[in-house]
Amino acid sequence: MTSELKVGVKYCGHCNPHINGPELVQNLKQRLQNIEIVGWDSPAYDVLLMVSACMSGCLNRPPLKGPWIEIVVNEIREYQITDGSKAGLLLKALRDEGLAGK
Amino acid sequence: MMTGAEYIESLRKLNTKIYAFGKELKDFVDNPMIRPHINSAALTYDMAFDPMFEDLVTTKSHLTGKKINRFTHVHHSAEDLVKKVKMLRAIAQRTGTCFQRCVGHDALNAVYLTTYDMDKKLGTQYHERMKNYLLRIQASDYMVAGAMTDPKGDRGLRASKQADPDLFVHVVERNDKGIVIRGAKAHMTGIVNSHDMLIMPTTALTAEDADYAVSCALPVDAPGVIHIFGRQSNDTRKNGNIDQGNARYGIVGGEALTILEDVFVPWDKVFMCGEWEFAGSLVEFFASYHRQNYGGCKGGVSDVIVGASAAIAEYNGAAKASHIRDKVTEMIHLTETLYCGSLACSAEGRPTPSGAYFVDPLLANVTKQNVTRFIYEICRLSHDIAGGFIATLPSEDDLFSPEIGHYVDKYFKGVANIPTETRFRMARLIENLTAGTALVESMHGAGSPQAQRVMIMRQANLEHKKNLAKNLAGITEKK
Repeated sequence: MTSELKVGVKYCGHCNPHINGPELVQNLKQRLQNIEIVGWDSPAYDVLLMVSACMSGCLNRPPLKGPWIEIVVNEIREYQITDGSKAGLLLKALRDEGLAGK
Repeated sequence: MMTGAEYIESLRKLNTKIYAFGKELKDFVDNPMIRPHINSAALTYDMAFDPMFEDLVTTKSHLTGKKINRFTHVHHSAEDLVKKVKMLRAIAQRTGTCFQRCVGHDALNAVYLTTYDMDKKLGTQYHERMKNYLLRIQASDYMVAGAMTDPKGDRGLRASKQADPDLFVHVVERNDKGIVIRGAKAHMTGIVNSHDMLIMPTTALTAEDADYAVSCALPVDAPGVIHIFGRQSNDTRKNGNIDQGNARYGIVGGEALTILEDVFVPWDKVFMCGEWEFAGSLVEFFASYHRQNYGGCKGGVSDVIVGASAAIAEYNGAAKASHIRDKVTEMIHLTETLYCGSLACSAEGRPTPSGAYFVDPLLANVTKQNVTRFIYEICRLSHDIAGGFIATLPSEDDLFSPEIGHYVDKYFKGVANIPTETRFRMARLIENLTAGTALVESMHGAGSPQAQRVMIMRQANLEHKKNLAKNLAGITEKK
């Protein structure tokens, strides 16, 4: 079965975390069911999710080639998603998880 | 980059000569005295491949542009310095002890920028050699032990004035192929499970001490090198996995006394040989980089101590007492204060003529000075919260004894819903983290407190502070 949504994930490093990033991603997997999580350096994905676990948001952004969402602690800080794209599913799931922001 | 498993296998190929308890340790990789330290260092390799941590534990080489483990990187921005501190905290949270690899990392950085300065002033060719050595380390992902502390003998005498000339590492022969060195390096963190050591002088030197002005790299298993492994406060507790406290990663950094008995080093790995006037600055660079670390790694270890103390309070049924909550709050405050210092000296880092970035030395020394105090207070509070049983617990053999185990289980019980074994395990972890060897490491690791105070006074602008006071007091002085 091919996944409906392939998500590249990049974590900040979690040195002094206020959230558990991998746990959040697991919750998204349960919520979206047909989702595949891959590394941020994978050759292809539908959307890049960048997770910073404290307010410093020090994650090094990789070159951004497609749709992306950046969350900092429990806030959706910034994203670039075209209307009606598959990446919008992830944005909705994050909001459903209770993340605030744009 | 190597994985942890590849790192461990690479150690098996070495012929490292290690002694403990009067005997040579064969198959040291699997020896229970050594293995926990290897496991701890292996995490610095594995975390480079873990998506959760790779943003901290990897970076790009300024020499090749390739992805490398951060422990082989020469810092090229204040952000690099900050990320190093964050990396150290993240790793220490998982090991609960020293993972040893920062010493060599700091040595690589200190020698890198010192060789640049030496070449500029003296016309020597050391920096290119150092860059070539760094390239080899980045490509191989070898673990390098930073080797600074000499035995020092009579502390009131300089290197060349000692009754025994070998109490500081020195050059005994120079020939067309390289140099021969003799002496020893003490308190060598992680040396027995490293691939290479990077030797540096231990103190500022004079012209008379020129033979002691030596910096060079060599394999830890080079002919003439012997390591005598140091005792630790739990080193006879190897028969189970509770009494050790932290069976997987051990306690402190597996320190050893490293003997260098007429060891040959080829010229391409010699980075200082007689340039005594640069020994002091090399020591200061290394010491400041290393003191930068302590709010990171000790911050991470303190995170574990805070967690263990909060957990044991729950197991004891005392977690809701206001004084317990206040003590835990104080422990968090001290931990984050240490972290603040490490972040601050990194954020205030500046470029050196070599292009490598150097920390703010005043703030770095203040950070380490705080570690010599705050860790003791964090541990004191942990002991206060946990209770005296962390020092009087019977062994795990008694807990599991068919004859008396039920007594131990019954009378060391805390709250009803927590198994006695759970309370045992947490108590032993607290003992491991807060007592004995680990505590002394906070005092003397990266230099004893007085070494930091000398640097603090030297770096602070006391005249400026006096002028501030005189200005407010309305004092004008004739010039």
